[in-house]
Amino acid sequence: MNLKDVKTGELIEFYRKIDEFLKYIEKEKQGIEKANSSNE
Amino acid sequence: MFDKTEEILEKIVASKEILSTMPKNNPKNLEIFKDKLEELEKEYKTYQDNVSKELNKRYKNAIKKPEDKEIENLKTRIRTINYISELLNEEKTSYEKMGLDRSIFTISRYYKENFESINEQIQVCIDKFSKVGIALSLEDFNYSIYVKDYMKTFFQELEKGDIHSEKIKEKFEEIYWKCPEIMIHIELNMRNIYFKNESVIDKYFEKEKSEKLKKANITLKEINKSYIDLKKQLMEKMAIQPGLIQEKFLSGEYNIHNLESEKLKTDIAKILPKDIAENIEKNEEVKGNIINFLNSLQEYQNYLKFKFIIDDIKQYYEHKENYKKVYLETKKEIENLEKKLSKLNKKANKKGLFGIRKVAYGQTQEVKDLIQTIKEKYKELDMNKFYHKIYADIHKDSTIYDILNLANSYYVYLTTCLINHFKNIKPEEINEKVNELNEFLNNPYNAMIKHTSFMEENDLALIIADKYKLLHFTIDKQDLDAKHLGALIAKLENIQMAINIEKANLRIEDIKELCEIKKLLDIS
Repeated sequence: MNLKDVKTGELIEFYRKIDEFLKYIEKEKQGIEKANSSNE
Repeated sequence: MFDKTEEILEKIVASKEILSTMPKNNPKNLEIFKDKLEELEKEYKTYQDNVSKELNKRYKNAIKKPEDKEIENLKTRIRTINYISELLNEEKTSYEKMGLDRSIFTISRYYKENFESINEQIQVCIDKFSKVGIALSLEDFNYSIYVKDYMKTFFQELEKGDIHSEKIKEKFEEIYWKCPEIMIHIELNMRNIYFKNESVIDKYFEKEKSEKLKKANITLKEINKSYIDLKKQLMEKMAIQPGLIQEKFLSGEYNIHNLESEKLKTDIAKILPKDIAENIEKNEEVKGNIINFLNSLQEYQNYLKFKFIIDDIKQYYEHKENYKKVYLETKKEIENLEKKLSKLNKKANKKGLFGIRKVAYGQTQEVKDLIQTIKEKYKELDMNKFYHKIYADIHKDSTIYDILNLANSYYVYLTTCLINHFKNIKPEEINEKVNELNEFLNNPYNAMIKHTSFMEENDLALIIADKYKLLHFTIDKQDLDAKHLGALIAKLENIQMAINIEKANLRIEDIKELCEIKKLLDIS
């Protein structure tokens, strides 16, 4: 991925959005773990 | 935003939508959902990793070195001048010039310190004597047999380079139960060594002074002027050194959000009329006035911080005639008491036939009481020395600076005054305050305190307010109340910082981005 032409401010925002999405994924994964353990 | 990143952001929205519509109603669907999450996690971690590397690279490229050669040269020259100034300081005797006052004060407050730091101070004293040409040995420690016993082990371990050894701890334990005042004995012994060698030490400083002055080819007046010029140059260079500016924000000392355009405009509007505030960017004179105003306020704030010292000294000044002879009288009393102690020690150590001591040495009550009296007399001496200085050097035209400088030259007085003023102050806080006072007195922008007599009851707040009103600042004396002063200074500091950032060819926006990257990537 070529990021050289992206302004630093936009890159920071981009990092934040990805981070938010990764946190969302992590939360969903934890939800599954929780559901699985209560089924057991 | 660049196409690819835009594309990825759109993909995040789409992926979230897909995830929200996926069924999770049975274990099989949950498994499929989990696989999808892991697939996306892997993909986006790769993106994040790439972005992180790029941000890190930009951060490193944008960070400037916090020092430069010119700053280092100025610091070296100022250190040399400080050393000469210290030698020329008329307020201090050789005792203070050696720095023995600080070390001995620490030893005297052994109950507030730890064992290691007391031993370090004993070593510092030995080094300080050595620096002025007096090599101490066990022979010099004869205040009591306990001092001799302790110092014998101390010198042995010092030679091995281990003053924190077990052997010293054991020796201390052994002596302490016989003589809990052992550290007081060492303190008094050190003071006694100084007095025995005072004239030699005075000569050392006289010689050092003339040699350094000759070498530097400079007078005291020129030194003061030279110091002020160099310190101003240093402070101005440091204030616009890009690396140092960045460091202030990245360390959290300054908050970049205080420099946001709207906030700055509001701050400026509070101190300057609209027509001047709107054109400030092009008006170098106004920018200079803002910095001068800030310097005056900081000087005033520091004056208020240490006013209690001036008030304390005033009390002694009013009775200065009482202190004409106190120092010499107390010194003489100590000399006599120490002669008596020496006789008692000799008597206790007297050996009979075949060099065998007649009785085992034990510290008699008489010796104990005598040492206690000497200790109290030395305490009196420290203060009387200072009060005598008030008698000899302070007059009605002495300035606030002269008074604070005298206090700053006498560590024992200063710390005593601090302890009396700030109840329950900790040892490290005492040193912080001492350093703050020293820094205040060394500020090259001090103007009022060098021109105002300590006896005048001038309203300095009004004088400052009137001066800067003439330069169009919209302030009142009330803005300089202790309650509002800090906030006014903070506003001016922000404006000054914005001016310095511009002078350093930096941009507030860039510093803001650096702070954000540091926080996001947790860069230390």
